[in-house]
Amino acid sequence: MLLHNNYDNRYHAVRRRLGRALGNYLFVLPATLFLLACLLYPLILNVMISFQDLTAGTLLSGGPWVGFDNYRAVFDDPGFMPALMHSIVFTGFSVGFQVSIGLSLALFYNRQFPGNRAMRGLFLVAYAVPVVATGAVFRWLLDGQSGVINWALRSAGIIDTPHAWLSEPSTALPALIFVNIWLGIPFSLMVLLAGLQGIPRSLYEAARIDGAGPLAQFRYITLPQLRPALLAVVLLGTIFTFKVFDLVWITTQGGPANATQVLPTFAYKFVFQQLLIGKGAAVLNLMFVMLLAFSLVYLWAARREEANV
Amino acid sequence: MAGVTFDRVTKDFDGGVRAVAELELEVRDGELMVFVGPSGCGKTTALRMVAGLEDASDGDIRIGERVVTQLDPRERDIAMVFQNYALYPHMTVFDNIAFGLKMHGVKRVEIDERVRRISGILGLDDFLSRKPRQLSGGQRQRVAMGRAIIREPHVFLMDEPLSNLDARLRGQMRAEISRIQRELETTTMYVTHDQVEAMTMGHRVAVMRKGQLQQVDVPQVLFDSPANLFVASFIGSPSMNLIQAPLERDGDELVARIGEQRLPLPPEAIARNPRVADFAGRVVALGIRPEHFELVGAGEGLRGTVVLTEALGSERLIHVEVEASPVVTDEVLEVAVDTDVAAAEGLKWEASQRRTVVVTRFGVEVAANVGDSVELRAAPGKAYFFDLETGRAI
Amino acid sequence: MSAHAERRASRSRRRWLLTLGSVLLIAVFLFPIYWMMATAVKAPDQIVVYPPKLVPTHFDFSVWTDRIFKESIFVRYLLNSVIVGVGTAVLSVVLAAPAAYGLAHLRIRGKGALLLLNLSALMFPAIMIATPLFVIFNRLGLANSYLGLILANSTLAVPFSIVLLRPFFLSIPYELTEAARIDGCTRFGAFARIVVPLARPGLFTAGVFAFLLGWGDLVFALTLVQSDEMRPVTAGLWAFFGLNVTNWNGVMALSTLAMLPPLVVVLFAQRHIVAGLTAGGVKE
Repeated sequence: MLLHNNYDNRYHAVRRRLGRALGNYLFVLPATLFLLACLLYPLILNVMISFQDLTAGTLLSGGPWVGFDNYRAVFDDPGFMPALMHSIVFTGFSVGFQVSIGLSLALFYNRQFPGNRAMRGLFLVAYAVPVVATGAVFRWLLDGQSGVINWALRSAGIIDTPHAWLSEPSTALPALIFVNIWLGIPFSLMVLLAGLQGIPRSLYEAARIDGAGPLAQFRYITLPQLRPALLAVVLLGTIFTFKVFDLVWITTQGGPANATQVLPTFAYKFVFQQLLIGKGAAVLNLMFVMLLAFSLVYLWAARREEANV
Repeated sequence: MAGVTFDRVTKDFDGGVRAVAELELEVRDGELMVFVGPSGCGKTTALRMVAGLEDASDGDIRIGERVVTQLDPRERDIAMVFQNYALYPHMTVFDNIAFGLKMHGVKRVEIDERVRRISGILGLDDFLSRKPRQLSGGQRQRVAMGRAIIREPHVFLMDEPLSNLDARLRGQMRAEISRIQRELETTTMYVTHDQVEAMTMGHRVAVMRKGQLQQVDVPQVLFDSPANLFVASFIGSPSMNLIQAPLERDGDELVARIGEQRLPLPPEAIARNPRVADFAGRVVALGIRPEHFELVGAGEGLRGTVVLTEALGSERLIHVEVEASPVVTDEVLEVAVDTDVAAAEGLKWEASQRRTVVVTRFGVEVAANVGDSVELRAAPGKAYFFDLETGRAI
Repeated sequence: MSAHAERRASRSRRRWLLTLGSVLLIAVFLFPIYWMMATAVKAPDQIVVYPPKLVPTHFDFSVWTDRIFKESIFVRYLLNSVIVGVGTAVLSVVLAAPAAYGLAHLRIRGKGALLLLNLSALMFPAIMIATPLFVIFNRLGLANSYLGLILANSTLAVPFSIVLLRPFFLSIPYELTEAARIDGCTRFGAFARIVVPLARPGLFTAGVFAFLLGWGDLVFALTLVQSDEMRPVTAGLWAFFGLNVTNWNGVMALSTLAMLPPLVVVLFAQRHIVAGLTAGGVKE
């Protein structure tokens, strides 16, 4: 038997074991360090900034601490509640329609017909277009004078006079929602389609034997089986839509007359236009808290329902 | 050349599960030791600790003279055949076999030569440029073997390599693996839950249960002299019959009261197991293997009624119902459940009824029909006694 | 015709009806994109007309020749976007792949916390990151740089990639890593030589998504870049739009330009992406 100095052996053993444990951590280390530095640290900074009076002048040196003043200013700001309302309405209607239309399309493309696989891939094209370009095109399409949509609606007899959809306060938000729905359909379609394809055909066959018609099959088999996919689409869709900035900024910049002001644009104005960075940071923190709360409540409610079923 | 030594090796998993408990064992240089036992007994964990895929919580593992406990798998000079083969799907058979050599910096010319030699031995010449998904189960198994053999390591580790093959292929490969191992004389640790593999392939067999080594010896000794109830019921197929036997002193004789009968223990049985005498007044487990029964005349043995006969070509299995309670200790139930989940319930029910079915094995010349009354006796020297509390052989 | 053949014929007729329906759906859905490209090549007198001319009859490429390719700034915008897009893709995949693999297979304490951190990273609005990054980069001198943009975009791309890649790595049996380690690889060697080649479709999908994220970003492009030369095409388009609101020809031309590279990438990778969403999607 080879005799090592027992002490020496133990030292090497501990060093070796540490080395091996560290080896595992090395895999996640780069990403974690990166996220901590570029994500977590800035966010903590954001929280701190929201408690400071940071403006153009104090940008590089840091501003004085003002406690909750920024938050109070935000709540007192007459634009805050409308922005919040708009965000909620915008998100709610967008996601609602995105999911319904996405589901209908998914059901359609789940059927067998020539070319279905190639064509459903084409919806992904919308994903490739930068939102800037999409915004530009839809501004063009919704144009009051020569926009195609006005022409199409008039030809179909739905309206008689052309509207400047994005320039009228009463129609701007609905028009924006319309554009956002277009943007969100590919994602919903893909995820729901993947979910549909995961449902074993034998379930439908069993249901048909039991006498269920197409509607009953949809209600009792498709919807329950699609639960995880629907959950993902609604949760992710809500999160993404709530924080959307580019689309609103390009098409309306929050106007006309703040009719489409949503929280992200609201914050942007504070930080990058009025350089009231502290106040803007406060708005953003509020947004994040709202999203976090929504996600937690949503997931909790979903899990409860699952347990009851 | 090197043996494998377990020096008080323990493995605890998160959650408090102790998979291996203070294992002390030596696999001799050049031998094929089979590790056998029911699922969860720790045999695979022990193997993976030798491989370096699991860290030992305590104790040391040595390969030859080297302490390898803290070394990475690639520093241990071992090779492993996995249960699911773990062939690299994106590489050809040639590259799969060559991979280990490539990692160790062997020159391409030499790799080429060695791979072709191995593929010749294993009959893989026609498949060298195919990918694993194009091969059958048996072919994949051979590629896995080739990958292990080619590195000429100090130790082979095999984790249930045959369990995914059909019965006939399994028989063929059993012989192949034994032959290769004997030719190469490489120390081999072979894990299986199939005791037929254990008995036919191993120089020695280590029986494990709940992380503890029950007995390690050559197969024949495990069969002839099981150290405890677990080994006795695990080894042998069909299992050893175990019935509860209350012992009483009747003058000079020791008598077993089984059911209504009082059967005296023959003096030579007591002579061979003198400590049995200490158990007078207590209940012991009496074990008799199916092949060790004799049919005797009326009044000379244990009475029973034939309930089933199974003709197996060259022999007959005769199931006899006797008035006796089966042994239902934990070990026995564990073995029963491993083969058939419902068997444990059956045993317990039998115990409550104080009747059990004893399986006997005779040649075809023995004729018995269902409903016949027979009397059974253990062949001389073939009665085993076990302490019901500790499970150990008496 | 026999009853069988009749039924088969009607079934196939029904199928072709569905195909027709699908074509119509695609036509309606993708109309905006067609419209964008059509406007980009129309003669000016065909653009601001009512009723709108759906199919261009007179083509005019002057906007392309005179402005886009003449004023080199537009090409510069494209180049910037390419650098930022590719940079984001490369950085994100390089960081996310080992992390996703580690979270899938390796025994790491605090795995749950890391996963949670990842998921919540997806909840941050881009502006929420842009605001402090604006402050930090200004102090660090990273403002108005490619590196700054790549880092900023990666803060969103890395968590997304990790979430996308983890199911891919989960589907690759850990046994392969073990076999490779026995054959002589280090832990990382086993990852690089055995697991990565097998995860190629997933890595490719993640890379494509990261590229799209980097290319299509507007927030960081607007906030972290000051000089015109460093602008990616998204911010460039926005600036152009601001100055040329009624020049739909030019705006659409630039939009088309901004759209073409990612479009090509998506069309090329389309098959892999759908597979990616299936494998990585909702099989949690």
